[in-house]
Amino acid sequence: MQVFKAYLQIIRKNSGLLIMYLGIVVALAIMMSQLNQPNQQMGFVSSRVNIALVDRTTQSNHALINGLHDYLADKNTIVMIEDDNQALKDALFYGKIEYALIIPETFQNEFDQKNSAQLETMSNPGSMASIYLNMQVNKYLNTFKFYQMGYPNKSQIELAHLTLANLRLNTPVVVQNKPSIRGSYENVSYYFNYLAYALLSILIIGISTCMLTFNNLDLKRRNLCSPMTLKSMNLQLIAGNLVFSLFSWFVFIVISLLIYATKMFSINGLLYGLNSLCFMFVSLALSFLIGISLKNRNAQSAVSNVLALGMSFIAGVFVPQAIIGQTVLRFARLTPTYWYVLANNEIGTLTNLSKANLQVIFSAMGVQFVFIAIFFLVAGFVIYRKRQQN
Amino acid sequence: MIAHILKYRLKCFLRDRQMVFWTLLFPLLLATLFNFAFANLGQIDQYVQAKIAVVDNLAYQQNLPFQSVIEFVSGTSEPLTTKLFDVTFTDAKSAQTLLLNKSIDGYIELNPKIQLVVYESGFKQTIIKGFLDDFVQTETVLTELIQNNPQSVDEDMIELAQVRRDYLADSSSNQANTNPAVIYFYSLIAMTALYGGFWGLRVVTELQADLSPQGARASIAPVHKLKRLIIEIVAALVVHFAIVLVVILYMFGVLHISFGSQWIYVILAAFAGSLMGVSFGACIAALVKKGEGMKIGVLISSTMIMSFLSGMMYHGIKYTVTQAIPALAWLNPANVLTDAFYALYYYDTYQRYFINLSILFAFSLIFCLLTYVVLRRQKYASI
Repeated sequence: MQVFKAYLQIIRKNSGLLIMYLGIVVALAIMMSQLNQPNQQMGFVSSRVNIALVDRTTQSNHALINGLHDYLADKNTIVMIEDDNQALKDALFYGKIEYALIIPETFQNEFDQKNSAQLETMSNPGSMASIYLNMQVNKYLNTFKFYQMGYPNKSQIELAHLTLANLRLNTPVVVQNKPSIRGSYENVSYYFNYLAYALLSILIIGISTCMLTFNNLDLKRRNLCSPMTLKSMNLQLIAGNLVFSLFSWFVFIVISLLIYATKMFSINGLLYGLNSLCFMFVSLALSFLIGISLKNRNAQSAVSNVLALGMSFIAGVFVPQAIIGQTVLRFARLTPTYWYVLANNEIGTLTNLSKANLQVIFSAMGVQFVFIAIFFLVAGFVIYRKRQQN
Repeated sequence: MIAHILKYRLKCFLRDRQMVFWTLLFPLLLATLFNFAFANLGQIDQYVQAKIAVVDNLAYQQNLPFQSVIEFVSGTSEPLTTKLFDVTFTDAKSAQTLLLNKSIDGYIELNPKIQLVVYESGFKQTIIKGFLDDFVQTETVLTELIQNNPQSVDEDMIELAQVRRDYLADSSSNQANTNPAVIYFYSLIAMTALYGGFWGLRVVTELQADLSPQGARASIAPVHKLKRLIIEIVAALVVHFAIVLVVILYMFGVLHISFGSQWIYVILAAFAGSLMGVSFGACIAALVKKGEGMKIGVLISSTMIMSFLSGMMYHGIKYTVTQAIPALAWLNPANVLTDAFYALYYYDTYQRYFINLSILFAFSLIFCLLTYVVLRRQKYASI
């Protein structure tokens, strides 16, 4: 068992990296689940926009403006931003708000007289938010104007009341999508998607470090003249790789159980586990291939970064596959990560265990096994060539 | 003498394949990956005409006012107005099929009250509903006024009902440049600039007698240390400034990332960034007293933290940090450099850009002074 023990010792020396990648994936998963709260409400839900309202009028208690404020606040979320051009523009750029409405000082007077009063707006031109909010503001002001023209004797407060009452009229909406538990697994999918990056990085670094150590020419010559058979030595190395991979995978599963608890004890949870186990073998095979191909340690972190980051980015680990361009995705099909992420996303939206649904998931796992076979075949070829050279 | 040192220093740098990978190829690779991932980010909230169907039944045929507004928003009457919807007229059954196939966002049915049928809630659906609400609300106002105060319904009001008054003027200038995805690329440039620290770090390591055999050898030579330091930093700056420019050119030429229109200012910012990065590395090499591994570790981890805070992993971080802890934003050179590019891209004025640039030069000056103070007058009788 000397070889196996030495293997574990090398891993233990590099455990700092393992913990770092673990930290990254857990932090990312938690952050993403905070950002994307799944929407599980039934019936029609109007979209709300984050807006800023800047009131530059000096007098307080304008019924007209207060009514507008109430109306907009009812349909949107009002974010407090200071009245400063740069602050508003920054907030708009970074998506803190999607729309800003600035009420100039003279607005009330201009509005009461018939000439058209102008409100300033800030938005990303052509965005949904700008179209929707322009519609709302104009609607309020036009309705107010109707009432003002129709009842010239009523006070501003009464007019605002009438306007708001009118604007509460609603069109009935029928929503056909049946309420489902869809979305409740989305956060778990994020976690397992990031796992692809972390697991791949950890295994490439861990396994290739060990392989490099044992393939060191002097060390190898020394080992070969020991009484231990080559077969036993190789078996111990394989056992080392396998135990290390399984342990890393197991740690991720345990953490997923801690974070998502009950959600993991379900068919979906089981499928996530199975899919990530597939991907563990993919990473193991790829790391093994890298480990025996590398000549020295200098290139190690470059290769691990390029492969892990590259495959994760194009396959949709960090950004949902839905917003990645079609050409890139077509290329991404040549990576195992794509199929792993595809299966994860399918599991996330799985509501019934119909044959068609499961088929997508299991065939994605099947494709991963094809990659495992390819990686091991290439690795075998590399070993064969190296032996001939020696 | 100067040319000699400069020449061999440049040769040393360019032959270091590993360093060239990390400072040049790695940023290029990340930029390419970012481009794959964030190419569509800016287009997500753009409004693309909602597709709706109207059930063409008897109730619709009889409702003339509704017909005219539908015509108005679908642009069949006035081709010049922005078309809000793409409308198909059909019967109830095929509208339902269209909806389930997701070829329309929703359909409108009158029986005779207006009703909207959608598959799921969403922004487009909200806009359709807002439009329908508007119709019902206006209809109600007018009916109410005709009943209660008929003489008030004059020509002006009819006109207002037909052509709604637009009270709004968009004042956000610089309409084209609103894609937040550029922050990822700008902060990537900031990371590249800070990676210039590798060169600075190497210069100092190979200059100090206690850090490397090259340093010990160099210290014996009768050359003033400050002179040598300056020449080698210049060599590092030449290499790194070229690298940053290549990265920017790649982003602009191949990935089509916008940098605003002022190229001189972009290049100036790239120079300020390179100078800051190289001097940052030199400063770390001088200040951190442990071995080379430790120095590189400090350099990489501080670069990563600073890039993260300037929005390289998620662009919203930059804004959040600036809002919550402004001091942290100003004291983070990566964020200042990102902000300089952002100011060029998004603002029409250059005030913010020049503030950022001054801060960058101040950082470089501080790093250089620190390095010099630590390195000067160190002598070794024996090592």
